[in-house]
Amino acid sequence: MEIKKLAVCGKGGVGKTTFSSVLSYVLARKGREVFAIDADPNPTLAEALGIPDHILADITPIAEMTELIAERTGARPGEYGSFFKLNPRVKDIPDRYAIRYRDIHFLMMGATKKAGQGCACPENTMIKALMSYLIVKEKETVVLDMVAGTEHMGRGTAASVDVMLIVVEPGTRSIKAAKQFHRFARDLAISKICFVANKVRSEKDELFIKKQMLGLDLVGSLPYSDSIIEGERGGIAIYDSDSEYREEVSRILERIGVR
Amino acid sequence: MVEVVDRSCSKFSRIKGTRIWILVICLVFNTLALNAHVLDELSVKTRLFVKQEGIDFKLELAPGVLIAEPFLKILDPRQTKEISESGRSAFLNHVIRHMVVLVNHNEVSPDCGFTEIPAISELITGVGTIYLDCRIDGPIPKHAGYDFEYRNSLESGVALYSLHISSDRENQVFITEEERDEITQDSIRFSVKHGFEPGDVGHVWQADLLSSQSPVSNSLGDRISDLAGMKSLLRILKMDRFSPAEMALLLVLAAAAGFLHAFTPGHGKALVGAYLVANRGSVVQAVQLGLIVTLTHTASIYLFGGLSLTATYLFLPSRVIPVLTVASGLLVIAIGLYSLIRRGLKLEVDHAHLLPNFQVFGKGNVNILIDGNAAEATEYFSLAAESESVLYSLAAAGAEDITICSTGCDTHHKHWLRILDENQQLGMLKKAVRTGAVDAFVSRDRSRREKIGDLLRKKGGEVFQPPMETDSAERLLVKIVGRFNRKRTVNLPGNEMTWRHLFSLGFAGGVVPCPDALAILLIAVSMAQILSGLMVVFAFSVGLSLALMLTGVLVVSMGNLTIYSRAAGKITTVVPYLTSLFLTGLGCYIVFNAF
Repeated sequence: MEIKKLAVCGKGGVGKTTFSSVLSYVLARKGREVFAIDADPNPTLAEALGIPDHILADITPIAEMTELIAERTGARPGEYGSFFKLNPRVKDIPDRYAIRYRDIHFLMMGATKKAGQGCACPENTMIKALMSYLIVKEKETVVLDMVAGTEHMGRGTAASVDVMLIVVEPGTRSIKAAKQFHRFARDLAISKICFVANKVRSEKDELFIKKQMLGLDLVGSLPYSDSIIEGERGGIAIYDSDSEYREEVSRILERIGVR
Repeated sequence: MVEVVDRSCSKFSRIKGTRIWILVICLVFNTLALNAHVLDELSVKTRLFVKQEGIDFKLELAPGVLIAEPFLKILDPRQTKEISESGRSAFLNHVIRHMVVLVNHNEVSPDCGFTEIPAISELITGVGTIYLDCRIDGPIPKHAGYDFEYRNSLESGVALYSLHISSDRENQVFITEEERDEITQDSIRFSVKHGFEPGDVGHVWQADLLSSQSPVSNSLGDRISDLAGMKSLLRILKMDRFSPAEMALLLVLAAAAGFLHAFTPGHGKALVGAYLVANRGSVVQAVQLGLIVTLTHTASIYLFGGLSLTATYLFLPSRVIPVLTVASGLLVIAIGLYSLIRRGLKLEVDHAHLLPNFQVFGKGNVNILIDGNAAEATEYFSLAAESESVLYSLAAAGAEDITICSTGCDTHHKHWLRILDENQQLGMLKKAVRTGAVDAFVSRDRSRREKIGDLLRKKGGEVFQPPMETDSAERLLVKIVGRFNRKRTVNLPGNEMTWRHLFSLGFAGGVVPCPDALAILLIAVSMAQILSGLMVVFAFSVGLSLALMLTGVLVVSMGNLTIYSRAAGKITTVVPYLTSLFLTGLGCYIVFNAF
């Protein structure tokens, strides 16, 4: 089975966005049409992809497209308590609203205010429906940069995620959070759950993570890189700023079975 | 009159801000005294002229339409609509009894007579003024100085007094040491000097300056009435016959006067506002309410105008209006209590769901109502809805699409009025089912399925347990779609206000005739301009109604802003209770102020 739906998650600050951006470019280099989806409430994937500021300024997150949400769900974002449609039409949204930049189709979901799990406010409904569509129905490759994977995804959608990549850094808190995400992912019955070590500065770091992840599927170790930090400051796509990181991402893809 | 203050919203645009300012201005007008009609007052004007021989008084008594009755009782005790001699002398005695005149601290009795007395019909309509001349010359020490004191307490509960004094300075008569109550203007004390020393002229001027000042007699209601052109209208109506162009101008003026006049207190704006807020009315309903108030009001004026002109005193405006006001107040109390009790018993589902948005259900769609506790099922249904088998069954049933609907959020259940939620959520679901548009209700909760089930089956739908995975969702959808009946009766109401509600409130708001409009009609009739009078009153009512509609539309449009804010949504939870209470309170206020 061809792996097409890749969800990347991890605790805030572990580098999941950096990884997602490079992952998207590596997949695009393989000749795939890639949808890179930023579903993080603090969206930074666009910057990691190196999308220039003037394009970024025009991007409206889906959650803030008030008129679109009102048209599709029958209720406005934040509207309190009226009936609305839980299965809005979203089929045309990826093609209509994604920004195309260097072979990548980029979509920003945006944050829903105070949205808890099970919340059925119109904006959250819209995002859920869109995520579900992208994961289940979209024919092209989709890379999702998300926090935990459960907020916008139920079991029905999760079943179509080909692989969930949980990013960890060599720190106890990050590993604890990663194991929690692993449990969530297992509860959602995601078929393939892998771990990616990031910010690995030494063999000692790598050993620490391997020891902590014993029995779990650790598919690669990404280096801590000064050039990534410098490249980010210069607004350069992380994919372009560090070749070692890029090559390791390619190897990770091979290890999980992406050709 | 107090107006209902609407809810606030965090993000107002500039336009919305402007609308709020307009309403604030309206509110400022309305927060002043409820019964500040100029025609609800008695104007008592006293002009004192100090001469060498003594002191002359000129009294002007102008009773408003609602105040005339006590005077009529004295002037025409047998109700013949003619003023008798005995009536005249009784009236003079009545006026003198309420005057206190002291010369050098000794009480003296003034000698009074009528200069002019209007016809009974003018007094009834509140436009007649009685002029009296009084004189004191008996015990006054004519060539020496003396102290003088004057007080008037005629109809002190409703009267607005004013005092003007002047002296015959050419003949060396001067007024000094003047003291008067500057607020009430009902008493004055001064000293009279003859041949005053020139060195004290400044003092004399001060006294004269005071006497020439306008008295504090104009209430705000009076000034607004002037602004609204009421007095001008009354004057125009006293003119001769009108040409068509003049008539057209008069009608436009009357409509404009009615419009402005509606912003004076006591014209049902608070009622309209409160009711629309409580029931989350629409713009159309604001307009309908305005229309009902206008029609009732016009009819009421015609009716009581006609009755007032009959030979009997039974329908004197001053008698009829308080009775009608009480009746109207009681009706308002009843409406307020009714809605309060219904809300208290949770029979009224308003909560945050005042705009239920039933339009989401399409008549040609298969509509599935999903309970908040079956959120996961939504995903299975959404995915299954695009499967081939479901699409095929949709085509076979002649349905256009599948709409899965819910009432909202679980965060909902965390706010502080949670206790109301269960019943109201259920009430909301039932309302949706009653539209006839719901084909299936899916809930994990058995008791909810049972509570909804009977009603839904009557409408041709069915209740189901939520599916646990996509395949079972697909089978369930095929089943639900298979039951779809394109010819089912669907009634998707805009919201909950009924004609019965609208009419009862519109009637209460309009049944008490506005005394000013009534006066216009009565004067027109007394001037034998019946048709003009009827037309002017109608135009006046149209203007009045436009103002009510404007208030209603402002209230509604601001009310609608709040549904876009979740925080404001919580406010909307309590507003209907508050406005119901306000209506009840307003009704009590109307009743207690009727007499």
